[in-house]
Amino acid sequence: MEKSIIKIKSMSFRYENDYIFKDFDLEIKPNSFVCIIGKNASGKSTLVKILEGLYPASGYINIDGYLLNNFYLKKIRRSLGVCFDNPELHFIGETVKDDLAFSLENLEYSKEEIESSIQNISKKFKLDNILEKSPSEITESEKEKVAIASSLIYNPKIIILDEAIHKLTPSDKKLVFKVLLDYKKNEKLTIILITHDLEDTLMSDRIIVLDKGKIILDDTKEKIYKDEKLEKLGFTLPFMVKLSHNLMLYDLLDRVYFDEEEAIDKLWK
Amino acid sequence: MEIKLDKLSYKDSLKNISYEFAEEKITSIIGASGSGKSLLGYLICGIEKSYSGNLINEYQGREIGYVFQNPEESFIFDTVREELSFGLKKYNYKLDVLNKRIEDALKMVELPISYLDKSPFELSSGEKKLVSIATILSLNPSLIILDDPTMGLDNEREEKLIKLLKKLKTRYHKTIIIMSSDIQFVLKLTDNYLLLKKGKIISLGNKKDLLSNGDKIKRAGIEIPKIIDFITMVKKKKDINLELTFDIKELMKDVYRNVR
Repeated sequence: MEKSIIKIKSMSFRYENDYIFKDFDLEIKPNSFVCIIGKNASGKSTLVKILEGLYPASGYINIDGYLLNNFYLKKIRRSLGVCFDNPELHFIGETVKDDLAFSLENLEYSKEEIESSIQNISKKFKLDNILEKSPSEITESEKEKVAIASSLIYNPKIIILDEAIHKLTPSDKKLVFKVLLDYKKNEKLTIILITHDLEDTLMSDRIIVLDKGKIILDDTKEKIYKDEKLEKLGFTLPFMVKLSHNLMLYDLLDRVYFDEEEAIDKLWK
Repeated sequence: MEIKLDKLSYKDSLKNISYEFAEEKITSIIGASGSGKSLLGYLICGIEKSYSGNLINEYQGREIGYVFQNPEESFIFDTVREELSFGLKKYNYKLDVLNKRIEDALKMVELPISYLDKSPFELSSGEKKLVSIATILSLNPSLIILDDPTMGLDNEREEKLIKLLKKLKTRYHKTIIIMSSDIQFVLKLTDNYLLLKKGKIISLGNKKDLLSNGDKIKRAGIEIPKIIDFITMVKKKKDINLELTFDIKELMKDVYRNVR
């Protein structure tokens, strides 16, 4: 068995008098693409803040072989790229370029290395024409792209996207997913995507449903979407899942299709 | 009460916008990020003033409630109670009236009263949005402008928000303007719309007109609902014309008829 890149055992975290997490366990395999979904206030964002070392939780937390504590925090932050839902909070530099350089300067990259890393990442995310612009001059979608790019630029082993892709335009979203999947394939990146839009879960290998600090479902998308249980929990199912289930009732389809072209070919042979 | 824009322009970001907003209706300004929709909101409510052309807005001052895109930007206090009281205090309400109004506002957005003592910064992004909406409602404005209200809300909260906005329109006679790029959301509640691309109106009309303008929505860089993608793909791959609809049950019937 491959070792987990994130291992959480008996973790508890309390905010004032309320337990957000109590005896919480979670393991994530390296090079996997995991989606964490949950309603507002399910604990999703708190979990991210704990993993980043911003909220102190009790229990065992190991990230990329390091125990989460002040001693290893610097090493852990090197392994972990985190993007949150408000890209404004990421921006520190005067230009997009400064901003991309910032994390690399902190990691003591040389000038040449910084320059080549920026060239490399801006090519992937198509940022060339906005590199010299200030963060206030670019669109919301571009801000999110830059935030994701600056989390990937130092090649972390894990990236956590916490509601960080919702302002992307459809074409930017496609591009971001493509880049992420390339990193997964070529750099063995582990992707943790936190979202409330179930359409985004269809690329993942594993879906975890959080509710009030507990994992209530944890399975592959094929198994999670085999029936309509997520709908009963108050989620809107991805369109293709909903359509497949409806068409299965009429015996027009035999299973859930995630790919629309495949479903169309099946319907009209 | 009139809100009328006549050849309204702002630098390179808005060009020749002419539109008259209907009173006591929900109007959606639809556009991708960078289309100028937030800017248009700022101009309508008067935060931004340096425009050319004409703009008449008979709603003034506290008659206008504005919910910003990123609610954190407007929070300054340690508790939700203080956030909600701040606007009201200016108007010298008695304490019991003030408390009643903030509790009513919180109830309208369906957050528990216990939230009054929480810090607004510790709330989830969806809850922050609801608190900022409650802040506006406590002041009882006649015109409510919401910039991207569904950002960060889960499905359940989104449905509740839709119900609330419809109620504010029909029962409390509010005029509502929504800036959004979420077509599925807009279709559930809007009466009218204008579609912006790079600062220009490329389509406008009522909800029905929006349904038949899928191509323009796409051109504006906005995500087309998957159902329309599917219908378009069936046409492209199999040359079968399914009826254009946003209702999955209608689509089902049509697929059934066409496959059999």
